[in-house]
Amino acid sequence: MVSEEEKLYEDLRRLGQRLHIPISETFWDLEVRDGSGKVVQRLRQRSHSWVRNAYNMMFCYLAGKDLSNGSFGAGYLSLKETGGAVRSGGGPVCLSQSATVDTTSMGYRGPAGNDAYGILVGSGTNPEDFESYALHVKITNGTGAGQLTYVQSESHAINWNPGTLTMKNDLARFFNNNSGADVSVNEVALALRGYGPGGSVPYHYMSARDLLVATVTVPDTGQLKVTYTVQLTYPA
Amino acid sequence: MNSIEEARYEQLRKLGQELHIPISETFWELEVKDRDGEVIQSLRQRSHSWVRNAYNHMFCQLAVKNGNNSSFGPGYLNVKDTSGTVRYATGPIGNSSADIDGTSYGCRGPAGDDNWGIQVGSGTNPESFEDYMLQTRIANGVGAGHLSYIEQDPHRITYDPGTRVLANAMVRYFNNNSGGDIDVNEVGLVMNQPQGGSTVYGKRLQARDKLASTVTVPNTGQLKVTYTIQLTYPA
Repeated sequence: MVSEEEKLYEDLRRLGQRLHIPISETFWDLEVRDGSGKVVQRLRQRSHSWVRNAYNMMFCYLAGKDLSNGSFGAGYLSLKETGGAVRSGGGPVCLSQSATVDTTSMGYRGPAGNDAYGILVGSGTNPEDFESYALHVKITNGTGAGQLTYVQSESHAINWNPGTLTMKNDLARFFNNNSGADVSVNEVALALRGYGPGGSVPYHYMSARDLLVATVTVPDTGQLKVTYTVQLTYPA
Repeated sequence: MNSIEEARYEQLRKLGQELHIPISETFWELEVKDRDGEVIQSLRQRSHSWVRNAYNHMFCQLAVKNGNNSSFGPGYLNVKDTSGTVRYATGPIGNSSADIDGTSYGCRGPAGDDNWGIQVGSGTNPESFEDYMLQTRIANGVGAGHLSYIEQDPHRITYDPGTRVLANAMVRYFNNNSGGDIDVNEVGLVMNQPQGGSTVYGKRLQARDKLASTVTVPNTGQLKVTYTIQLTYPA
């Protein structure tokens, strides 16, 4: 990661701690192994790209407010699902009050063979856009040409650092390449499965999409591990 | 508000926008009117004091993670409700499939209810990140030392396309029919999360701030408290 930019993040973190403003940071880690288990490529970068869906969800839980607008865009409180439909209703964030999100039925943990939610990967190279609601070109689950096998997301790994007062959540997902050829990954995303808002039908909402700083190539019979880290700095 | 501190907030906001990190800010405004409707005292200050409950709420939402610890403190994900009970469940803090724009759940306290929504108190203890209730809440009523809690106004959402700031203002009125002056020294915001299924997060304090100076509500006067939350969007 660029040291000059890292200095700005450090400034931001310190300023936030001093002013008691919560500062959240997010990171992507990608690691590729070949068919014999040897690490052949690594990439670590910040996720800069929480999209409008994520900001709207954050605003609603900060304000204790429903997602109540039928329009999507600046100044409106709604969500756009990965299929492009705008969702709003008499409810706030799109998770049921009584459903667990630590398992793979709801939340950010995608089940085995499912490319609809959780950590997703794609081959598209479109620039990051705050209005994105889906990957540019998603790599689908499977063993055909250009496909990857989506493995069930690992469990949440929570870590507390008493020195920096940082709470961290690591979420990892593996992708196997049995397509018969190399598969190139250029974009990564995090998509949520949740109800509503204000209903009982599950939808999928993308929270973040990042373009990778370099193409990551998964060789045939190789494996890709993608880790998404969210951390929040506490004042005490 | 302090201009040096305001410059730091400005710096924080700009850095957040540059780095695409969401920056949230919160403010309290208090206005007192006497029985003739004349404004006799006004106070505006930043709310510095989101407590551990609010940070845990935020973390659970960002990570989409259940609360899961029975201890309360650094490194644990749960909340402490206003009665001091530590709560966690197989569901994330803050989630609801119920309407929270009304006064059944959320942050809008109903008429005559001092258990949640915007609350006021007379306590003067310093702010603490571990606070889970007001030090000395002023109870609802018309007896000595009481204020009548009015139903909280509907959420008021505004968007400033220039600064890209989305803001939510919450307002609650308090009438003094106690027969004497009432001093307010602390303010708090309590969220009422729907309790159903396995999720039992209850009523929990999100923020408690000590006022920069005592606000006095005269007998037959009215206090208006506004809590504003704003989030700066990158676009």
